Amino acid sequence: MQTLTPPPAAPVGERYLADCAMALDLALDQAPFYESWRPRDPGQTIPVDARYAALPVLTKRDLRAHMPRGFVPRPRDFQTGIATGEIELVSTSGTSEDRASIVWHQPWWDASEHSAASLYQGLDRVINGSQREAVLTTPLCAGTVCHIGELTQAERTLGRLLFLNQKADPNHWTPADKNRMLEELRLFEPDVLEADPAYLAILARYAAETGAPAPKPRFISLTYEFPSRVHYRQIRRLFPNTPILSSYGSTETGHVFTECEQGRFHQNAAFCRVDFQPFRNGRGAEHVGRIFISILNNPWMALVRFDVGDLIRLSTDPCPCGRTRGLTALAIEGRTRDLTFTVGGEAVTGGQVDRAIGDLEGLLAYQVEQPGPGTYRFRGVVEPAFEKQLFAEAEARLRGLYGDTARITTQRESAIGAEQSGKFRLTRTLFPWDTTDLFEPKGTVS
Amino acid sequence: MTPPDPFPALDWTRADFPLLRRQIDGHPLTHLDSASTAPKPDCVIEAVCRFYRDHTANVHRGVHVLSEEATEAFERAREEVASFLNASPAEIIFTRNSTEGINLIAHSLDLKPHDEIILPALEHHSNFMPWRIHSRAVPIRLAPDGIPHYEDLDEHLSPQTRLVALAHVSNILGVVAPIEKWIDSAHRRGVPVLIDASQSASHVPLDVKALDCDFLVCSGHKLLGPSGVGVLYGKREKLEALSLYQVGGGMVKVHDDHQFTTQDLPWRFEAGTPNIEGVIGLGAAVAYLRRIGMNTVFRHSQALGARLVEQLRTLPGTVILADSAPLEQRIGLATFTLHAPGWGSESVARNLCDRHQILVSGGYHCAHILHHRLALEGTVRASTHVFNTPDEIDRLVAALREFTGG
Repeated sequence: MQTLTPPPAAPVGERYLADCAMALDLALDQAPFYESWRPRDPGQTIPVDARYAALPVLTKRDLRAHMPRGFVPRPRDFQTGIATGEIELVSTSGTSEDRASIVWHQPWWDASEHSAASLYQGLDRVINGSQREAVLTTPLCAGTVCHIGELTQAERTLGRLLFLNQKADPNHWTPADKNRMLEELRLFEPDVLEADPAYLAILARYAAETGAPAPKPRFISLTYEFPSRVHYRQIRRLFPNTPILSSYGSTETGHVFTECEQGRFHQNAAFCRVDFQPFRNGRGAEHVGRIFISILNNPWMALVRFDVGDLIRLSTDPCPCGRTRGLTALAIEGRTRDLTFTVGGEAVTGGQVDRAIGDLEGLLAYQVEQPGPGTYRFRGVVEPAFEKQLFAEAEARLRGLYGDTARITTQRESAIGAEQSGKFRLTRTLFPWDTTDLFEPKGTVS
Repeated sequence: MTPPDPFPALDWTRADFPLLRRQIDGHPLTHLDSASTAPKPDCVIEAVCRFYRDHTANVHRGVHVLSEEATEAFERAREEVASFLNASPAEIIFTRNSTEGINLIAHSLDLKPHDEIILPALEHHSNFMPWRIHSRAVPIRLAPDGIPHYEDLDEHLSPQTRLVALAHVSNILGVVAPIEKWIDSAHRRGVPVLIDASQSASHVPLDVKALDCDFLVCSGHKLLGPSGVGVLYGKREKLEALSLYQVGGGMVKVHDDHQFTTQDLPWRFEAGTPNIEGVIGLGAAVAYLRRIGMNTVFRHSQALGARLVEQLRTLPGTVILADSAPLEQRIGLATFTLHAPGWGSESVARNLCDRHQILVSGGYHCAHILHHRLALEGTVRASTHVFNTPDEIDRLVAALREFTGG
């Protein structure tokens, strides 16, 4: 198998810009999808950031319509790559209009992961290609949906990887399911537990409530979806001394941001380019915007300015950790489609909502729905002892976020279910809206 | 069998199906997945909505006008279904779906563990699992392309045989089974026959009297009707001989401290408030198909099935199940594997949707035993209904050619 390693240290920016130029030229010259983009490219005499900014945005719809062949750079051939086992076709989770299939090149993914691990002290020594890793997420992501029934632990163990979960919604886990996963974690002794925070929170809560002994991974990496303060609190209770970091990426883009020891998110600049498009003035919070990701050094798939559908909050000052390469984000803010809107129409990210209510004592899970302009519904799963004051406090805090005239109702829930994709939505609107005029068209930061 | 020509154009029906106006990624969809569940025509949607809007009431028990209207619409639907199958309304039991109809028979025949039920090994879970639970399922072996060795029936019939059960049209093969021969063979040995018409009912004219089958089941949702409603047909004397299935309101005439007496057929097997709007919608669906004419529907389905198979044969390395069956025995359904390394059946189906807005099924189609016996790791299934056109078959095959080349 071909292996890729992170490029050696280079002067900040120089290697990155060269990689960006190379990835762009490869895409425009050799990947069939980008033929229609070529006239928009100002050319190689122009700074590379300006070249990227001049190009359209790649959407999931584009991926669905043109994957795989449209994105495989010539002279590589998709069928040949499949036949030789160099690549696979992998589908992301989600419903039809959210998911996509992509060309998966395992060596590139591994190298991207290793590089991203270098952004958290000590993690890259663990993520070295031979780490034992347990994965806890929707079985759709983990590839354990099958038609042959429940799989044994041996069948779910692929080399150094153990896939724990077999059910699409963790609310449907039985005590036996949870005991099995905890026991497998203890026996497997993973170096890294890579988990969807919503799933791990439920498992951690169960373990804490039943007094089950805690597994002892060396690191916990939260990924797959937005980690709420609600999740962190429950996970931390079971793993008080384990380093927990958030890793942001996607099946399409590889590892994009890693949370450092200081809690900020650093771009994995050796393997991706990130362009940032802020909200228009007055349409959303300052320094918050969506990101377009271009992948670098992947010989099998050219993605340029891919709108991955997520938002970040840029850091405006240097991170105390000292890392300076690429963008630094104060926070991952959640998905664009999960935006809600204040009474005045300003966009509110999932991250903003979570900072407002995620630390409420006794809150175990929540969802904020916006049925219409100016109306909001807080749905909460709460510990009974905190119920009375929690809903009143949640309402007050949400009013502070959305506006004094916001009409807010609260609703106690026994559970909040996962979507068909197996992921959870902390916020959502129930009326149609689109991103037109929401973001600065020319305001890209790279 | 009627030869597939001349091709009856039913394009005009497309306007009746609002789902076909749905777009995915800004493109119109090509719906080739009716074997899973069929889109609904406006008349079905309107019948269901009209019940909710104008008549919502329980059936068979109220004395007010709404209940009388609801009961009338409900029983009118039973008459429609009975006429569709050439049965008596008393022989039509409304169930949730085919699965429940088969489970009802499996339960109410009072089977013993040593009793044997003979069935082809390709049967859907629904016509396999109930027999395994209540008795001993005896599967008939399959040829390499999946067609059962129907000729083996006689050698399997024994004094322990309590029933023969088979699909009229398999949800995998799409081929009309020789049910007349099986019914004849079984009856000569005094064994009753259950026909699973889940796939055939909306493609092939059915006449339970002419067939002389003892039981027949079908599901509303594949018949252009609502989900959650199905039909169990049984010869009156066979139904009367069954033990009770579910008991409760609606199926009882008198209930006092000492005894109870049950309603007559068909209500004897319809305990509890039924799926009233579902039954009414099913009645509208059946009426819609009868207006088109089931002979016309069948010729249309045959023609699309033949085109589908002939076109699939042009794809290098493609394996079509039941490829050896005569084309005129097919309905508009074909299940196949592609020679496309790296592409599983589900990823092919997903890609067809994502890239071409073509909807098909991928996987095991609730027929694990067939797939296991044929050593298949999933298959792709395309299936048509009255609204499909030859152009859509061509569009599918052109899209599949991207996987196979050639």
